[in-house]
Amino acid sequence: MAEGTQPKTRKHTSPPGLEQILKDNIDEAFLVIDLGGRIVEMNLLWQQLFGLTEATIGQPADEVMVHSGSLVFDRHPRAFSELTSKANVLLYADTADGQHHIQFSFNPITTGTRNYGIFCTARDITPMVEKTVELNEMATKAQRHMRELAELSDLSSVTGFALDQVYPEYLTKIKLLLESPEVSVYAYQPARQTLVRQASLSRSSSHHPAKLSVASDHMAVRVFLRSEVVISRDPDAIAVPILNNSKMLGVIMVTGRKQPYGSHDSRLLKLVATRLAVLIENANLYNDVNARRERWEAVFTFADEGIVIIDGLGRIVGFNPAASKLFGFSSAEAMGQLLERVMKSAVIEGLASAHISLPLRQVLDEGQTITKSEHLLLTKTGDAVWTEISFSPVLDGAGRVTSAVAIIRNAQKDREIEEIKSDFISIVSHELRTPLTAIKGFLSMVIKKDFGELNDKQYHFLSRVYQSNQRMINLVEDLLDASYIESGKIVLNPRPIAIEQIAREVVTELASKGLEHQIMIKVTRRHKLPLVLADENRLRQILVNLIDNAIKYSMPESEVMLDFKLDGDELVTSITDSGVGVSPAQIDKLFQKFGRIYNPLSVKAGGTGLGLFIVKNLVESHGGRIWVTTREGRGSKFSFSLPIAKQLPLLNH
Amino acid sequence: MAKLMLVEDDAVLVEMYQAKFELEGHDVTVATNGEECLETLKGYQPDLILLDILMPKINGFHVLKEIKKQPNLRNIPVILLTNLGEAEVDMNQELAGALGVSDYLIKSHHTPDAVVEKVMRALAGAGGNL
Repeated sequence: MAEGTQPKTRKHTSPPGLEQILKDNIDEAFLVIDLGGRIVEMNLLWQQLFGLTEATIGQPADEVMVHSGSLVFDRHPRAFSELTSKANVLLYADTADGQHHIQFSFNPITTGTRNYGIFCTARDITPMVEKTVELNEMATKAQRHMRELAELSDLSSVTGFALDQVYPEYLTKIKLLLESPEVSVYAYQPARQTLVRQASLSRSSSHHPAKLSVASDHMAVRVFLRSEVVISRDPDAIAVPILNNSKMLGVIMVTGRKQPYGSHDSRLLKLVATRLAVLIENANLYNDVNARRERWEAVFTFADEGIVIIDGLGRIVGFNPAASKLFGFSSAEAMGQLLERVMKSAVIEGLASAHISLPLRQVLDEGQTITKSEHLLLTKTGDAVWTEISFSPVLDGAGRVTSAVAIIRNAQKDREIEEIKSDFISIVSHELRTPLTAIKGFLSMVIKKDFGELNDKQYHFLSRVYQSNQRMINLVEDLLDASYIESGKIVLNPRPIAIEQIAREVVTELASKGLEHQIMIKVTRRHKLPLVLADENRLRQILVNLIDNAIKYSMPESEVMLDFKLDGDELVTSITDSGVGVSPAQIDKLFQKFGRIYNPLSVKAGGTGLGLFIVKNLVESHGGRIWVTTREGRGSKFSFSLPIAKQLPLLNH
Repeated sequence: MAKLMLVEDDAVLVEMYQAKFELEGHDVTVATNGEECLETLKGYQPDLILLDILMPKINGFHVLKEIKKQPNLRNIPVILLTNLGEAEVDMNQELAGALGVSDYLIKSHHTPDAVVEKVMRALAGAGGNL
């Protein structure tokens, strides 16, 4: 049937010669439809494109092309045949398998006013369409990247040390960048081994809990422990570590997007996290520095000591309230002034020059530290006040002195107390000694029977009174010595001395006391001894104390030995007894004030407990040392060293 | 027998030293303060002066300086007697030495016997010099 209609249609509808011209010259697939909507002509390309044969010629074009279901039109025409009157109509269709996109172009075939039918061409525009889609996708992607870049560069404007203001801005940015509604920032708190949520856009407490122990099983913890990004599905989530120089600071946790997260999200989030890490680290540093500064400011403001800071040129750049109180100048008055203009020295008669000039240059020029230098300074109102000042240089990284700090203590009270103490000692010394002298003097005359005979009992009792009084005198002497030692008032007049001679005199003095206890005192020396450098009275005091102790703590019928030994440029004198000795635990107490050790003999021995304290200090004032070797129950050996007088030949007359 | 001048403000000590020196056969003139001492010395020349340091009005050092200023008194031996503390004594010793005292005694360290001995020694020394 198709074969039959084909020539007939061709004859009726084709203008003469057109058929062949079209077939030869058009390299596009084409189809010709007559006014009745039947297919009049198609070329081989059309047949190939739509899988048709010549047999379709003469059939209704709508049936073949539109209703067969082999094509899906984007804008469904009711019929090809309806397009006859319209010029240059375009239609688009996809093949049913979706593999090809076809463009149809319809044009009426007219000669003058006569209409023959429709000329239709078809083009496979699949490559073009694909290209367009690809271009569109690229454009979209580029746009997205542009936006992301813009968001990221926006982040660089988020700065500051107040993290509670930084976090919300970051959260909002992350929300935009990852198109995710739920974002949280966690910071690691080492002290509690916990990740603590700092800020959050999420209400989900399971995905974004407020606190996470590093022992817990949570995605954020895994990220923290592994220091790497974790992406999870179902529910979709991504978390990245906040790292600064491989130091873990925390985690950013993102959830709530419908689409799964990928490597692009990971890259973006890492960029954000890096930026945030720097901010967090800076904020931590800032807070540290700030806290330190605040602490120092508190010290500066509330210290009882005056604190004055001086720059390299000697000008005051810091003046705390205590300094104001001390000198009467306000901070504003003092700032910028030269130190010596504000802290003026009071010049009074007899004041040592060391107390007058402030040693600021030594500190600024030589970097010296000066401790407790005493100065009499004038206040704003002209009153003189004793101060104790410590200067310390402030160094920069290269060790150069940039400024100096002076810590000033009001020492006026100390001075006054020292004077009162000194007066007190003098008074006690004088007032106690005078009556003791009278008792001693009168008794000595009575006992010596200067004024008549005494019976035995009277003599015995008065001797006891005399001894007791002497003990009291010794006690006063010891207390005075201890006071002088403590206030640093011991003045020595050292000169070269033959120690052996002094020692023999002391032994002679104490021999009778030794005999009372049936104790022999022996002095031995193997070599000729050099002179020592010592204060004669004090050396005598040292020897009396040590030998007297040796006698007191010796067993009856034993010996106390004195010997001398050269040791470098020192002479060591040792006093050995075979008495009660000292237990190791008590050795440390021996030389302390009132460090007397209580045992039956010491109670009998009496004494103030100040003797060895005084002896130790006297020996050390001479530049010597004192030590003891002892065994409890077996005796003690006290040794002390004194410097040898250097110019032996000259002084050894 | 020597003529001794005792300058001492404590009445009990005056009585004590006076008793002892008189027992030893010496002649004792007493002044109870520095002013009185200087006044007495205007018309009296002792062989030796025992001088306390801490006294009301004019102290011992001041008296000593005045004595050393006067040619007729300058050579009289002076023994300082005091109950000042050792530290003050140490400090004063240099001054005392410079002022030419014969001895410097802490009262509570010496019985009157010992003081007599020091006096005799100083007198012997002075006699040798004269």
